[in-house]
Amino acid sequence: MAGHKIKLQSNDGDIFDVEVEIAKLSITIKTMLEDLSMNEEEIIPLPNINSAIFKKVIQWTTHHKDDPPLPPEDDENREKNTNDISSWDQEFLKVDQGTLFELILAANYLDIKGLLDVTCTSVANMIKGKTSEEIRQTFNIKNDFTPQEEEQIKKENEWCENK
Amino acid sequence: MPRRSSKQNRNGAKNSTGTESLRLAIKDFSVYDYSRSSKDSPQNNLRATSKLTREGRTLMDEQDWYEKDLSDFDDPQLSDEEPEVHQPNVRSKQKQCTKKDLSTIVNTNDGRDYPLDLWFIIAMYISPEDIGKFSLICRASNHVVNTVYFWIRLFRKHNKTEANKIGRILVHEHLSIIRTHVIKSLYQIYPLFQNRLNKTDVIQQDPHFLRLSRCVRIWYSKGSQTTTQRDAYNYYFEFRFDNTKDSKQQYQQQIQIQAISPIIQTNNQYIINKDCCILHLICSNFVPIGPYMGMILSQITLNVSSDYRYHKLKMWFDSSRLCLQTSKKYNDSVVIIDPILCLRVYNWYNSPASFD
Repeated sequence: MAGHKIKLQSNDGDIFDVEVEIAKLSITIKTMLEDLSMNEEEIIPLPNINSAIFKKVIQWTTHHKDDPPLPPEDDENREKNTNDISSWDQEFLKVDQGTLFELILAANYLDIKGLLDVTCTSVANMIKGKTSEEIRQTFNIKNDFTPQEEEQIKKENEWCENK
Repeated sequence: MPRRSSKQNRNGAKNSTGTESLRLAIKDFSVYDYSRSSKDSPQNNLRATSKLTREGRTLMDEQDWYEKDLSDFDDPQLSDEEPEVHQPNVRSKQKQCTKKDLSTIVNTNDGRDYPLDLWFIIAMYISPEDIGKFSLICRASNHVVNTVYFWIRLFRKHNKTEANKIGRILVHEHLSIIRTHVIKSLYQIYPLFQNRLNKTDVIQQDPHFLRLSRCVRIWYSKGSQTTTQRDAYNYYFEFRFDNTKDSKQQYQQQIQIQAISPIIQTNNQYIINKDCCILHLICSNFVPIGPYMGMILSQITLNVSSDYRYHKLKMWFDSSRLCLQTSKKYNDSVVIIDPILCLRVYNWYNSPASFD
């Protein structure tokens, strides 16, 4: 039996009918619903998310709706829980870098901790074992340092290199 | 009659009236003020003009209305104030733009420009060993790594117990103090860095890289925790790498920022300078060592000890780099430590909490 649905509008005008239980995985939407006591007919605008990214967010939240809630702000647990990414999530995150970064921003805006953890861990894992130049190529980022600045930063961060 | 007198003034008939002298005063003020202004951009000129107009107006307001000239009521310079009125709007627009930039990804010809917010979020998931690589990605990622928030968050993530104890004190310290403290604590608690230190080798690092460095301190202590021999002697040689090229940087490094909190000050008393490293030798017997502080380590050799069981370290010291050009060696400037039970080299980040 389908639950109650609410209407969520992306910044490009598309309206999505989403089950309340799924939408409430987002702390931002949950707070909106509880604090503003909005009824089912009202459309909740999401000005920071476009429809393509929001579809991905709904896909992730629908799959993870029955997951146990993550412990709040416990970094030790977070470290243990987020180092591994499930095979479904790995498949879900097979997107271009732009989409992945948009997903991080959307997860941050909607305050969906699980999605934020999995997307950021994915980016952190991409950085591992790569040189800074390779990382820039992966994420299509321009090197905006001068050679002197780059040298200085390398020197400052000698402490984390394995000699 | 006030009207007539103002007309007379406008025609310059009577120069000695109150209004005229006030005008001269304003004129003098404007010349003086303008001459003192160091910036002469059109914007500054405009600002200065409107400021002067305002000041002039306040001075004028001190007069009674009937003493004022008609032209004072519709001052053409008042129109100059308009750009200043509009300026906050421009600024607010700029602010809006930067605020928008914080949360949007911009595609440029050279590549994507990711917002600063994104780097802040990702930075929280970066492992300590990847911080260097992360800060080298772009200016924005480097900016994030150079924030107090980043280091405190890292400290809380990896050293929760200590963070609960001194986190609140540490927050008030200078960024460089916080950074140093967090990195040193990572080397004491983070498993990957611990593994780098816990090498079972007797000779943990080849000491030949110390050649041509300057010895700045020598001290020793008795007793060792790392070896089974109670009577072992610990010899510490602090070496500095003189970098003549970067004299400006060297000067900046010399300016050391003192910690505010006494607790952090106590912790920091054993911190090695960033351009220095310490050679730690554990020897089973006492070796008298001369005062070689300030001398250059011209040669260093590591061989098998005389009993063929351990190692022997020989170091030659010279008074200056110029002496190194000559092959002449002074026998009295040689240190021989034999046998060496353990040899370690510490940098500022992986040095022990104390050398006692």
